[in-house]
Amino acid sequence: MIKNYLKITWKVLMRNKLFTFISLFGISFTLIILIVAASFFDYFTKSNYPAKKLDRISFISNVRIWDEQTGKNSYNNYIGGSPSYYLLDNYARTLETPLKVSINSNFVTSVNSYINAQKLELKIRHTDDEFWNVLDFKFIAGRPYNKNEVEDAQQVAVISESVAKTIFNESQDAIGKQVEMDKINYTIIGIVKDVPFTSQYAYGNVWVPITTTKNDLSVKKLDGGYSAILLAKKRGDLPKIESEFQAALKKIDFPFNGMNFIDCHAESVLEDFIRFSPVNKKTFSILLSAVIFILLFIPSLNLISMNTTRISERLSEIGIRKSFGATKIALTGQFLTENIVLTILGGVIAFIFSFIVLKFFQPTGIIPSEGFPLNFRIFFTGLFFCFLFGFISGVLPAYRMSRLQIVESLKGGEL
Amino acid sequence: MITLKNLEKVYQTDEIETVALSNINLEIAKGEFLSIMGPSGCGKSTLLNMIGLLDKPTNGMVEIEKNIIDGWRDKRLAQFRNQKLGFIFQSFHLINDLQVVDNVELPLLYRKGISGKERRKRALEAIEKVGLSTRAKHYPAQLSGGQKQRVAIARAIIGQPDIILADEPTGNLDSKMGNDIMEILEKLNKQEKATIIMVTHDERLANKTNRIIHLFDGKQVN
Repeated sequence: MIKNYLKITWKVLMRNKLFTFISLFGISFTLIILIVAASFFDYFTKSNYPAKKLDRISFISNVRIWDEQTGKNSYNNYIGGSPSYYLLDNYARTLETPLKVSINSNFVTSVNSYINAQKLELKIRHTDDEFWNVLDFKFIAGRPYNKNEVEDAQQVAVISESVAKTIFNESQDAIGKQVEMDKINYTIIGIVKDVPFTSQYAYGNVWVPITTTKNDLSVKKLDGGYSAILLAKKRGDLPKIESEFQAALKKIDFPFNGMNFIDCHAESVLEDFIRFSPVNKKTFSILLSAVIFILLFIPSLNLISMNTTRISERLSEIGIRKSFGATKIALTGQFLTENIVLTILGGVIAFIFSFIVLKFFQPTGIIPSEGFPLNFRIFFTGLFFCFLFGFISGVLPAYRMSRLQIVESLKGGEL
Repeated sequence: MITLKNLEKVYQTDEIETVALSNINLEIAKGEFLSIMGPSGCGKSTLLNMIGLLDKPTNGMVEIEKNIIDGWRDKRLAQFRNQKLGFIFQSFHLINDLQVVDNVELPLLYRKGISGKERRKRALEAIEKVGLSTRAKHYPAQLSGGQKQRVAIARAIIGQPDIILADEPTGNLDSKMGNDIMEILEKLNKQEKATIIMVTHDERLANKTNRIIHLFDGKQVN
């Protein structure tokens, strides 16, 4: 039966090539958008270089604090930003559940460096030594800085491969050389593979010990330009880490610098993004579903209309099949098979074009030069969308067709 | 074998009620070759559709092989049509995208327990019976009207149904082709003992059958 369905499907697709082309174009275009969007979503939320253990990582990168006058219920009058070094050092680094905790500057500092009369814009991130343990940087040469070097505020630096090549032509030559940044001479001790700027928690092209910052790390305040990366022993520990962190925050002796309330969490990139976006988690999910629905629904509507036309041309066939014993279910199955095959064909085309589109993004630095984000997860997500798309656009015409009276079909009546 | 009692079919729209069939009572014996005749619009095809379970009567009863067809669900009706009935239409109703052999196989696709190999074997046998062995791999568009109708006959008989319903099978054919088709039907009736009910305008062909039923304005007149 399936072989026959497929045989008919092939014949039908080949019969009206213009219809097939228009259908495939519509399906492919929609799926390209969905696949590229899914790839980016996947890239931002799943393990990728340099955070290969992202499923075991929590971030503390945002904090909101309220003063006595406004109170916590007034969401309009809070001080928001990233946590202070003091807050993270005392309330995150001291947690027992995480395997490792790293504190680093939440944003990169842009500085101009002049090397061989050449101006170079460097993006510096200040980190501790655990930064190299919680993330998985690929060292092309040299090594990361260690605990002693951080504690002693030694002027050592790890630079990205592209910076090394820009300054020294051959990246290997950079090790042991000096580079002046912000009027301080740093010795290059390591070179790592470039980090895409979308990896906001790790991005930079120069990494130096956090203790070399000009900021005073000992200031007792709650907000102030830092973030923490917490690596759990296992994925299941992440909620426990958040609970422990919340318990630790309760120990803050309020009022603290005139502030009375704090809202700060150890959570995943996505949770963090949702929490501090203008919408809440539920609204975000609804909006995301609505966007996917619209993206699927509009072309589905178009395909439904085209399918109805196509089925109308085959009313006699429907009548004959019913006359000779086809049930409504069997006919619905056949038309759905045709549509799903069509959408899967569209899916294959979409995958090829998505590959090209994503390749286009690579030189922009949004995604890394290796570790292409079209993976099995995306492939199966795409496959699921193909089935969904094929089903949605095929089921209504197939249902209407199956309800048609045999005599009407044979006479070429209206669907 | 087939009993129709007080059969009535009324088509109703918002404004008009059209009586297509009224008070039809008929007994058709096993192995009989019956013709239904009458002017255009008298209800011949409607009656054939009722017997073939392609349409439901408004009132009355259809009984086939001691099965009273009443309130049957889609699946049961489909199975019954598949096993007991074979159809031949005036306009052939072949699927243009399929080769002759695939068109002929069609009824067996909806019958459980028949392998693809067996389907193909039986389709080729049926095609041979109608004298089209050399055209098995052709598409309908490559055939003449008479050849198309032979394919339709092969499709009707592949499932070895007890009853063959032919709706003006020679209506679109010239007299020679019509005679050829009639010969095949007569052969099926005599050799295979198939019960055949044929709607026709052609008195010459009708006279070759065992019995003729005349309809006029939806009523049986003889």
